[in-house]
Amino acid sequence: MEKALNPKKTLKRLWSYLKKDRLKLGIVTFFVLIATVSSVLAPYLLSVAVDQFVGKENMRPLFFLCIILVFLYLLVTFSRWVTNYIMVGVSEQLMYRLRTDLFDHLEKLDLRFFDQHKKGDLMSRFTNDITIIDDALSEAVVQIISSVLMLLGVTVIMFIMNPLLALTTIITVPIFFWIVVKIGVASGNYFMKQQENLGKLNSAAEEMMTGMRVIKSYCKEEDSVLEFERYNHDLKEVSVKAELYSNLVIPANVAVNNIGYVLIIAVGSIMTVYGYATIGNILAFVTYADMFRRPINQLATLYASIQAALAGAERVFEVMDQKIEVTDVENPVLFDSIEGFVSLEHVYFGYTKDKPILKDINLEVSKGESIALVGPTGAGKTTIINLLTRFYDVDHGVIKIDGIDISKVRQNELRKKIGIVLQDTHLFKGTVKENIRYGNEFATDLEVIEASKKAQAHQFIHRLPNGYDSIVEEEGSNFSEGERQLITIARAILANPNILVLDEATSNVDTRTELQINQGMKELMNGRTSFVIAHRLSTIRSADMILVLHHGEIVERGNHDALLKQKGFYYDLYMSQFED
Amino acid sequence: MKNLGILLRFLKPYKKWAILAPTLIFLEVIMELFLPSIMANVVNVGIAERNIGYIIFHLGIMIVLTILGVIGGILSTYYSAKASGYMASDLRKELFQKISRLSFLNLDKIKTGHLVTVITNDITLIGSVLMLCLRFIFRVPVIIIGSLIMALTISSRLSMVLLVLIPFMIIVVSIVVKKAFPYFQKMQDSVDEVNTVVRENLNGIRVVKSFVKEDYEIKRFQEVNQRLKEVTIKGTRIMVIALPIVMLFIHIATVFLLWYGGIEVNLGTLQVGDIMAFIEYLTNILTAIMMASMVIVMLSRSEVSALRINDIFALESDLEDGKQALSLETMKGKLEFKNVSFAYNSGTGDAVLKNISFVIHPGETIGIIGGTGSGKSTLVHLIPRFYDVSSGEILIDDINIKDYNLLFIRTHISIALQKPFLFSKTIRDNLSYGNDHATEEQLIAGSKMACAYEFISEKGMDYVLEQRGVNLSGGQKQRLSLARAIISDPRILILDDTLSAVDMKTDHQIRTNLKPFLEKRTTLIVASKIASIMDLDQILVLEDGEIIGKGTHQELMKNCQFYQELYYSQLERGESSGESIKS
Repeated sequence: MEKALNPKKTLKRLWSYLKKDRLKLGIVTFFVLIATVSSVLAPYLLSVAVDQFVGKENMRPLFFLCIILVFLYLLVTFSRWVTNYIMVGVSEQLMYRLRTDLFDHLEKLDLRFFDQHKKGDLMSRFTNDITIIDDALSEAVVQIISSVLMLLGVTVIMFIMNPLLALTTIITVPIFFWIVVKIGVASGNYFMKQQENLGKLNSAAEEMMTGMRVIKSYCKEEDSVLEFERYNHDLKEVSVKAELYSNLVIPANVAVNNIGYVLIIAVGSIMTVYGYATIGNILAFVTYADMFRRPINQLATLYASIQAALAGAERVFEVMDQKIEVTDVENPVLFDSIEGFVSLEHVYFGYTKDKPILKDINLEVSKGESIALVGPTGAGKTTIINLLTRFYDVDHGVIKIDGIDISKVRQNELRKKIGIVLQDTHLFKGTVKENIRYGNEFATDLEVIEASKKAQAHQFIHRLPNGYDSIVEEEGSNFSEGERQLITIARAILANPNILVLDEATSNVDTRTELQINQGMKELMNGRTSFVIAHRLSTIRSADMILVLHHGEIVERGNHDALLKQKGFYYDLYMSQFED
Repeated sequence: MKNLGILLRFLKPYKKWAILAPTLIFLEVIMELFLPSIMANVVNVGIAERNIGYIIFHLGIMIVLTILGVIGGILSTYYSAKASGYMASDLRKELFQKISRLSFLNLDKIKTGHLVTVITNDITLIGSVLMLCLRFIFRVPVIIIGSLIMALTISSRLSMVLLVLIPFMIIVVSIVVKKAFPYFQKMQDSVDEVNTVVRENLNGIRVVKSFVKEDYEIKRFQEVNQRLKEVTIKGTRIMVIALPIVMLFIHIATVFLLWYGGIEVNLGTLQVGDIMAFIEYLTNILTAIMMASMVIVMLSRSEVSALRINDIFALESDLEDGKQALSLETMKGKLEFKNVSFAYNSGTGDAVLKNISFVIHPGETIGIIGGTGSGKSTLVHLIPRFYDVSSGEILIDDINIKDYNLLFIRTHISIALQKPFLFSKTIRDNLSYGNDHATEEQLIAGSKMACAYEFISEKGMDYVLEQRGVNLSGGQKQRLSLARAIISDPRILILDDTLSAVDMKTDHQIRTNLKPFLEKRTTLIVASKIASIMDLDQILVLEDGEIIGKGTHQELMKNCQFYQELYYSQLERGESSGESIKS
């Protein structure tokens, strides 16, 4: 991405957010109008004062003029107050809405998106990119309105006062504009690159901080610093240029302005000498030149920061525009309660089009049956789980629960009815109780403890200094892997689902505890259809049906005894236990 | 501004630029100081005397001054941008370096999210502020003083106005800054909160979706989002209200000058051109004060960031490299624990390990088995000095590991962690992570040993892993992690329940493959299945941080009740007759 790809579209989109505060923006415009008109009148009055009233015997008119001026300035101040006060609210509201929409969409996106995008870069969009929009927009709206109005007003008054001087004042503008636009474009490009590089840096930092323990255990600290430095360096180059260009506008502006200033005085003085202008005029025009230059300058600065903001906005909208692949149909079938009949019919699936993981999977599971999925890693076991839960949708074929095609059921409904315990134990910041209650927010404390007991988690939780109110740190880092597993299982038990999916959940827990969990699980699995990916022989042996997967196909199926008799793949697997 | 001051040391290498930048501003300032008075002369003398030559000459001077001033301004910007950009970059590098040197204990206490925010956001902020400061630090006082002087030379009486106005403005600005400052802190905290929720969702999206908690998470996000909005509005409004007040002062002073100046002109003590100049100077001064206040506000915001940065720099690693920092030619691999006790928060926390003692001789392999939270992982984490013992000693080749050079220890000890972490690089880069000089043959050999070669060759050595290795299954990740440890060719190898996600057949195969490899090394295997460690030379049984059994399988079956129970429960489930790694 070199430039904001489609600045107009992005601008329109940002406007659609601001539109909601139309009324407030209207009020702001009104007050900006007042402030601008007052600001434009003031130098005019000053000019009159200097010409007509200063140095005259009668001080009264001057006095009155001064009073009027004070009044005007008070008006300006008040207007600016109101404007600023309202605009802060409006721009923060915009940020709030952007963050909300971004997060909402994020929650809807399917797993494929998360698997394919770097976490750090996504984070950067929430933080850096939205911040840069905030920085620009909070100034932008007001300044655009006031700048445009001021330009108009000043131009009008100047020409009324003294057309020649007015021309002199304006003459330098085209040159200025040209310089400013050139600079603006360059800085816009650099800002875009800067945001990109910042995103990359964020990603790298994120990954390396998360993996710092591995880095340290292999003594790769120095190497990781070097790697980080590469991203850092890229960022440095680009941001220095971006800062440089965006700040060049000011000196350039000063140059042109002062030359214009000099021109006015030159022309003005000569004209005054010959009586075509007054000293008061010169004073006024000097002020008007200022008032003419300032809005142009502001617009120029704005141009640069708006470029940056649009770049950031585009990145934000890019995520918001991601298509959700796993979608719900328009008229979803309702799932009242599931009995638990599951069938897979001619299911084909691959994460990428060229590498199919599952080929022609056919399976019929009766209600209450327990199915063990067995096979070498990469055979497709986890993939079946992903399809059952509609984390991904099948490429061909159909999966049915109770005879209903699950792609016609709302994802949320489906997942509420399926209990999932994953390989990755993931806990959230909060209390132990809250983490378990994640499975059912309406559960009572008693129910939480019951579930915890069944999962054999109660023993160790009970012994913690704060018991169930103990705090779980971010990512559950203050608990051991086994303890995290137990909490996760308790969470699933609390959810009390009709279909269970267990992905190697119990393998990181020690055998003694596992035995007890198995008891609990057996209770839970009783009468519920369950799919278990496990390596423990005991779990597999007690399953109603074992599916042996290899290279994406079901090569054998049956219960433990039946498969042993076959002396096939499963037999090999099992016998490797006793090899000499 | 204490914390910002501390960070100034990063500016030292760029001293030249940092001095040039504000100095060059002088040129700009001179231009601004003298232009009004020249203009006054043009009016007073040139126009009054109708002396066009005079006018043109003086205007010529104005143009020269302008050109000088502009060049000064551009160069000043150039050097400011470079100085601040390079400083920010250096700061970032050093901060990362510091973080990479933190100990495990340090890392346990800080959130990853916080570190990332500090290294990106906070440093960026400081860079911007520095840029502003360099441009304005000389400018503001010089303009104020210079303008005051010029104003005084025109009329000391009118200047009285300024002398009243300036302190007044400074007071107003200070009040505003003081009121706004606490909000900056709150804003940064709020940003952290928002980031935490986002990060957790990005990490745990599977769980969120599994439990259909999208709405719950959205609500959770709303809360922190709302808070951020409110705090930002409150803080920003304070500052934004102040600005027009300041402008008002400028304007009213102008009017006053007009009035008072008018009187003076009447009395003949002042000329009209002087009033114009005076107004210019007044505007300059008050604008400069306004800029100064903006800069002060930004400085306040960045002070918060600087504090966060310094807090990280101030962290002390609890691990010190050995005073002798021994680095031997080879490590033989004798490992001994002597009465080792350990607690994560030494002093306050519960002891996770109590009085652990055992010896392993070079070439031996021992198994460690125990319940959840029994301390197995903690024990092995002490060996590469990820943490230091609270009491007791760990000796390698009869020397306390604290006396060794940390690099030496960690290069000769490899640990395959329970939760494998892989980098988003190629498979080749991941495999050779612990051994830069590994040849292709070594990589392949290591992968084959870990039964990872099949899927690696399918994907290719140059296959790039996604972040956190999501495009591999759990078992594949573990095998890659194991291969990595093998390839790093350690003297002491630690497997922390490394094969938990691997199926039985592969598990067995790997253990067979490893047999010759382990003969030359000292190995510790933390396991959950007795089957994996049954035939080992020594088995340690841990419970509640204590060794409750030590010996061979046969001995333990006789003496250790816990072990017996475990064995029989596993036997029942058909796991007891599995082979172990060494027989």
